Amino acid sequence: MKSSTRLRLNAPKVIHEILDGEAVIIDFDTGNYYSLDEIGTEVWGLIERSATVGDIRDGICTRYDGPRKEIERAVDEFVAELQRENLVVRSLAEETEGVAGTETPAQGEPVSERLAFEPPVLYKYDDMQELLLLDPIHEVDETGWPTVGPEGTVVDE
Amino acid sequence: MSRERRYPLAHGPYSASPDNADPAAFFETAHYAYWQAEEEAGGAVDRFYSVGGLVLRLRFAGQALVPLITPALEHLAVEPTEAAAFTVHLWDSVSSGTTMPAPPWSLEDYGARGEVRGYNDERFHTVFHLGSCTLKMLDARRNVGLFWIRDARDVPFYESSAPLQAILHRWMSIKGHQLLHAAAVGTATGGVLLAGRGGSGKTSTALTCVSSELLYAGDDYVLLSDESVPFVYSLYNSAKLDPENLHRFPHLTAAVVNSERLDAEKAVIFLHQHWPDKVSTGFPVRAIAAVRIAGAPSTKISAAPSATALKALAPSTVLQLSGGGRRDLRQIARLVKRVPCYALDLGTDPGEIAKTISTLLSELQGSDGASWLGSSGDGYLDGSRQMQSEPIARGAG
Repeated sequence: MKSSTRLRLNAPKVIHEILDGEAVIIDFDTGNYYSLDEIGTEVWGLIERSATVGDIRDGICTRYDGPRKEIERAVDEFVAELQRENLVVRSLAEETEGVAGTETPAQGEPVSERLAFEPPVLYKYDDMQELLLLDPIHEVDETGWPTVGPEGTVVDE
Repeated sequence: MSRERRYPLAHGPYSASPDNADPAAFFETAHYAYWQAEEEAGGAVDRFYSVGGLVLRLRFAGQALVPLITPALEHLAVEPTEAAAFTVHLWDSVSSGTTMPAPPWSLEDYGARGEVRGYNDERFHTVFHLGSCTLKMLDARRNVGLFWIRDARDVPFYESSAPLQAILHRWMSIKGHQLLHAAAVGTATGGVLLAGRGGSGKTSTALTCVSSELLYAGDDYVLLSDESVPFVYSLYNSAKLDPENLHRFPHLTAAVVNSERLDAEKAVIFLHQHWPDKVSTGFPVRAIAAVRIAGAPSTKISAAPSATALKALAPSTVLQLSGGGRRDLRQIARLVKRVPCYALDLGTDPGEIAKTISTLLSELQGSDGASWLGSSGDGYLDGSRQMQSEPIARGAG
């Protein structure tokens, strides 16, 4: 993944809240919801603040103690996982360096003591998917309103 | 049911893209259909309820829908008044002998949660639930709602047990109240929200508590008011129990209203009809408990991070409710930050479940939740081990 790649949260289909260092994320398209551990939440926050992939790598390396290559690889894998789940998408401004608001927040914060790095984790829950499943058995009656048909799905002529 | 398929919606002259949708015009059309139905049905039947501290007027065209919609709200009934804050007009075409005008949208415009594309904006909320084939509309500016179904005899059990959920959610949110997917039990001085997805044990827990000193405020949806101390209002006095769990509540069996249809429906009980003294209209929220069926004999409760309560409350609320979204998530996050959160592992001894909740509430009455659990040394009631919330699937990290 290129350092200049810029991502954004896939709003409005994805919404989130962060509580006590844990992000809770809901995807309206799939009905899946997610939570992130502390480092994952930090990465999420950086994406929300328009950081590039390079900024995210630097920010996490600054705040956590560990071999740089290992941290960068774990961050890249995590970001790729977020993309595979369609929670984040590439920003149109991804290749534009130095636009307003690209300062890496994590880099600007003082680091008194670096914590041991652990690969960020995305927890996925799919037990709500059924809530978004469309009832497939419908047709339209003579008044023009859908009705539950005796068989099959909505069928056109 | 006719297999003849006609599609004036998707392909005919009535088809409208979201770009030229006119929710105000269709609301007027549907509203006029109600007035016709009321006239044909021989007049209106009015019922009044206090919902979240506001007076809701249900105006029915004739009697057909009254016994199907009102039992779940009966514990909130108030005297008729001219000062209703919100009026919903309800009718069906078959009993009134009227015809509902065809919808101006196409089949492709029905969303997963029933929202009709192009017919929802700041003022109007339009939902057609394909499962129940019911239309619900709200004009928030005029505080008027519409509920229409083709035939009153087709009202499904889940609509009878939790009527008007979609428009109440939207209208109440405008008034600062939040509909929550949760059960609630407690006393007049305070209670617990029981959170969890369907099948997590909310209904069983709430019904178990009915046999104790605790009062019942709901098993599925309740109304939260974001006051100085969060307050939960009861919305429905109904309980929907999986039939396979009915044997655990033999004293409730005679109260099941749909016992002949339990092969396809949940068992529905309107508690107010039989135990009016056990149904509460609301109480302050002292705690939130994320419930889970543990299978062990004893019930355990332990302090939990607020994110655990958020995960138990928010996804099912925002994904199930039409119109649910970012505002709901923010409201729920605000709630879980303000109220102590717990994980409740349900044991098999029903008496112990109610006792555990009562003990929690007693301890919380005079202190905050953190100090109580902190005083037990390990942070767990009865010295149990902390519940670990396992994800259903774990992504690569």
